[in-house]
Amino acid sequence: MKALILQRLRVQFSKTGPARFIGNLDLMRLWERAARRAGLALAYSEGFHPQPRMQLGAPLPLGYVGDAELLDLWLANPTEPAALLQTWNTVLPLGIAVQAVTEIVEREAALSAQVTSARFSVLPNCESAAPDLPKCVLALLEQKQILRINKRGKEYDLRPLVEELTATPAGWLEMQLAARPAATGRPEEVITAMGLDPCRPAIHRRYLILIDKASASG
Amino acid sequence: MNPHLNSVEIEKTLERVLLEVERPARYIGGEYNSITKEWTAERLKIALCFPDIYDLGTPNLGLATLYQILNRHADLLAERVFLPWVDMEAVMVREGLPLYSLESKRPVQDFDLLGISLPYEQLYTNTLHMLHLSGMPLRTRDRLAQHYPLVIAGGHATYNPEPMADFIDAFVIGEGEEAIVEIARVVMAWRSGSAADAAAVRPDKRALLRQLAALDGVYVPLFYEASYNDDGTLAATRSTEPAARMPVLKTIVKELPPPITRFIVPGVDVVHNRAAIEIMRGCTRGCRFCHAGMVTRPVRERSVAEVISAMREVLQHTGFEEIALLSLSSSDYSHVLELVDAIRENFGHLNLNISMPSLRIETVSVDLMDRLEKQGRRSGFTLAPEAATERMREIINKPVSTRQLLETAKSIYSRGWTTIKLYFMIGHPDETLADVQAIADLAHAVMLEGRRALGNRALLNLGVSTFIPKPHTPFQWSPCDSIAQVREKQALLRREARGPGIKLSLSNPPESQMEAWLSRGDRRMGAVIADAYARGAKFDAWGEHFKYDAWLEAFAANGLESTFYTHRERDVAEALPWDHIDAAVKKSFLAEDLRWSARSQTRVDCRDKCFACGILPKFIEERRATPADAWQCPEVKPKHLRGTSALQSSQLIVVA
Repeated sequence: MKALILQRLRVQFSKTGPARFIGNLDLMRLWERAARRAGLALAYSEGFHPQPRMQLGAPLPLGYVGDAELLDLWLANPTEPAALLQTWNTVLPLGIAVQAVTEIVEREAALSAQVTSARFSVLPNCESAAPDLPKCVLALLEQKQILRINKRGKEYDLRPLVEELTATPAGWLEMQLAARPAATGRPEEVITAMGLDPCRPAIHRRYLILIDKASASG
Repeated sequence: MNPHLNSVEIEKTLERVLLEVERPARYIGGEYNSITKEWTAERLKIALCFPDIYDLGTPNLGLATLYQILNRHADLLAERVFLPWVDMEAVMVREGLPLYSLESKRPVQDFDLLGISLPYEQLYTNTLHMLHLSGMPLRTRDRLAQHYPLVIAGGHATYNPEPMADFIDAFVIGEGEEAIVEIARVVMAWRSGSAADAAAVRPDKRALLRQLAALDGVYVPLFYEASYNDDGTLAATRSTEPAARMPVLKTIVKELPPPITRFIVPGVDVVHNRAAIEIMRGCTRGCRFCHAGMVTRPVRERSVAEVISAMREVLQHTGFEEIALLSLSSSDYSHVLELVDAIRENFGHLNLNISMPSLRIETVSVDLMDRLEKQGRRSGFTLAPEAATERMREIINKPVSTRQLLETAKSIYSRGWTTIKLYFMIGHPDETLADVQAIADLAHAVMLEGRRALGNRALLNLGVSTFIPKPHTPFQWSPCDSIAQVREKQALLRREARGPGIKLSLSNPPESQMEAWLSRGDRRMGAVIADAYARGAKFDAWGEHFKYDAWLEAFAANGLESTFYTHRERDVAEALPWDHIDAAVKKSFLAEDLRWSARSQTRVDCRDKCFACGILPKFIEERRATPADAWQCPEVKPKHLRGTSALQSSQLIVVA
C-alpha cells in the first residue's frame, strides 16, 4: 500500500448572499470545483466512486447565513496554509469567502464529531406587532420540558437543546443550541416554541463550538 | 404585475419568498463566472432566454456561447432568463413579479433585445409563456411599438420558423456566433437614431426590421405572406418587402471560433453538470432521418491542440469534474485517436469524466472509450443502430451489419461495462412489423452476448423512440406513423422485447404527434400554438405537464386537422412551408436521396465521394477563404490557381 502523506486543513468560511441557497451536498461539490480551479490536489477516497475527502462541521439549513462555517479537507500535496487563504478567495463564487486556514493533526476525530453546539443570531421578522422578546425568552427558559415533533414525525424535548437564549435591545435573539448528531436544535423551532409564529426569520449561524475550547473558532 | 418593477424591489421580494420554493438557487444568480455588468444607458442590453427552467437552460452550449461572445464587447451586456418552475411561477404571480434576469434582477422588458433559444419544438408554448410572464403581447404585430424589446430566436427548430412566425420578430437561420453581434450592432444604431426622432414621430420597429432583414441569415416573418390552395396545401410563400430575401440562406461561420471556456458553474445540480466543447460541427455520414446532419453542414473540425488547450482552460476556469466533447459523430472526427491519447496524457491523472457521445458501432469505439474513460465503475455504453434490419438501415442510410453490432456488444460487455444502451427508432419509411420484431430479436441477441461475458450482471437499456420526419431532410415528404400504428408497434415491443436485464423505454405517442405537427407545420400553426397555450399547454416536454387535449381542442377551434401535418405523404412537387428557408442542402438533392432510399441504395461517407449536396456552391466564397483542411468538403481554389487537368481536380477532394 502506498504511504501517502496527506495534509488535513481546517477552512473557516462565510456563506452569505446567493450562496445561502446552496445546499450541503452542492456545497461539497462547490469546494471540489474550487480546488480544481485553484490547481489544489484534493485527496480522494479509494474505491469505485472516489470522492474528495472533505467534512463539513455541521450542515447549514438552506437560507441561513453562515458567518464562520467550518470545513476539513485533505490535500495530497501539502501546501502552506497561509498561502491558501488568498488562493481560495480567488476561485470562490459570490457569497463564499475563506476567513482562515489552519493545519490540523491528521488523526483528530471527524470534525462533525467535535461539534457540540452552535451559536445563532436571529431576527424574528414577525408579521404581528413587535413582540416583547425579553418576556418570551424568560417564559421559554422557565419551562422544564418543551415537547415538539421533528421532521420525521418523532416527538422530542427541545428544552435541553437550548443552552443559552437572550434578547438584544435591537430586537435580535442570541441563542446557543446543541448541535450533536442526535440532538440538534433549530432556531425556527425555538421561535415557534416562544409563540412568535408566523414570521420569516433572518438566521445567522455565527459559529460552531467544538469539544476542545482551545480549538473552537469565533 | 408591474412589467417595469425595479431591481431593488425584485431583490427584496426574492429575499422574502425564495425559501418557499424548491431549489431556490435556480432563481438567484451569482454563480461563478456569471457576468454582471453595470446597467448603463449606453450599453445595449440583451436577455438570452431559454424557454424552460434553469436546470435545462444552464448546460445549453448555444446559449452559453452567445453569453460569452456578447459580454466580450464592452458596449453590450447579456444576461440570462429562464422560466420559473410551477411553484416559483405561482409565487411570482402572487407577488406581482415580472420575469427577470438572473444577473441584474431586471424585468425582461427593460432589455433592448431578447434572444430566445429554440433547439427543439416542445419549447414553443413555453416561449409564449416567457413573453406572457414578461407582460408583453405574444404577437409581433402587437409589439411593433418602439418600447417593446426586439424578440429574436434561433436554434435548430427554427429551420422551419413558420409555426412561430407570428410571435418572433426575427429569426436567425443558422449559426449565431457572428450573427448575434451584427444584429446587436444594428439594433444599437437604430436605438440611437430613433431616440433622436422620438420627439417628432413615435417610430415603430418596422424600420429596424427592414434593416435586420438585409443581414445574412435573418428572417423577418412580418415581411412574408403565405397563400394556400383549396385542398389546404401551401400555394406559396412570397416576400412583401424588397428588403426581405427569397430564400433566406442560413448563415455559417467559416471556421469554428475558439471554444468558450468560462462556463457558468451552477451552485445546484442541473441536467448536465459539465462543460462542453464542440470538437466538430456537421456530419459526413448522411443518415437520412437526421435533421442535425443535414442542417449543420459543412463539416468543420477543431484541432487537437485547440481542444486540449480549451480543456485545460475549462478546468482552470470552471473546475468541472466532467467535460463532454460534442459532435454528431465522434468516430468521424479526423484526429480522434490522437485526441484520446492527448487527453490521457494531459488529464489522465485528474479524476475527470470525459465523455464523447455518438461513436460508430465498431470495436474500435470500445478501444477508444476504454482509453478515454477513467478506470473503476463504468456507466453505460451507448450504441445507436436506429434500425434493426439491414434492409431498414439501408433505407435510412446508416449501414452497419448485425454481425458488427454483436461483435461490438460482446467487446463492450467483456471490457468492464455492464450496461449497454441501445437506441432505435420506430416509424421509419416503409417499416413493417417484421422490422420492429427485429428490434426485439436484436435486443435478445445483444443480451445473450452480455450473459456470456457477465452472466446475470449484464444489463440492456433499450430505448425506442418514434421517428418524426423533419424539414430539410430526405424524409421531409414522408408521413409519420399514426398513433394507432405506433401503439401497435409499441405493443409488439412490450411483448417481445422483455426479459431479465432488459429495460425498455418508449416515447409517449401523443407527444410524438405534437413534435410532428410542430416541426412540420406551416404559418397557420401559430394560431394553434397560441390557442393551446391559452388552454393551458406549457412545459410540453415534461411528460406530466403535456396536455394533449388542449392541443386537439386548439386544432378544432382553428379549423385545422393535426393529421394533415403528420400522416399525409407530401408530393415532391408540393410547396413546403420551409421552402423559403435555405439550409444550403438543395431540395433536388434531398429528393434524389429519397429516391435512393426507396431503392435501398446507400451513400458512402461524403468525405470519400462528394455527392454535391449544395453546400459548396452556396458557400463558395466562404470555402475559398478557408484553408484546404478547414472543411471536410472538397477544396475550392481561387480561380487563378485552378488547374485544368482531371488529375489535379480530383486531388482537390479531401479524403480524410
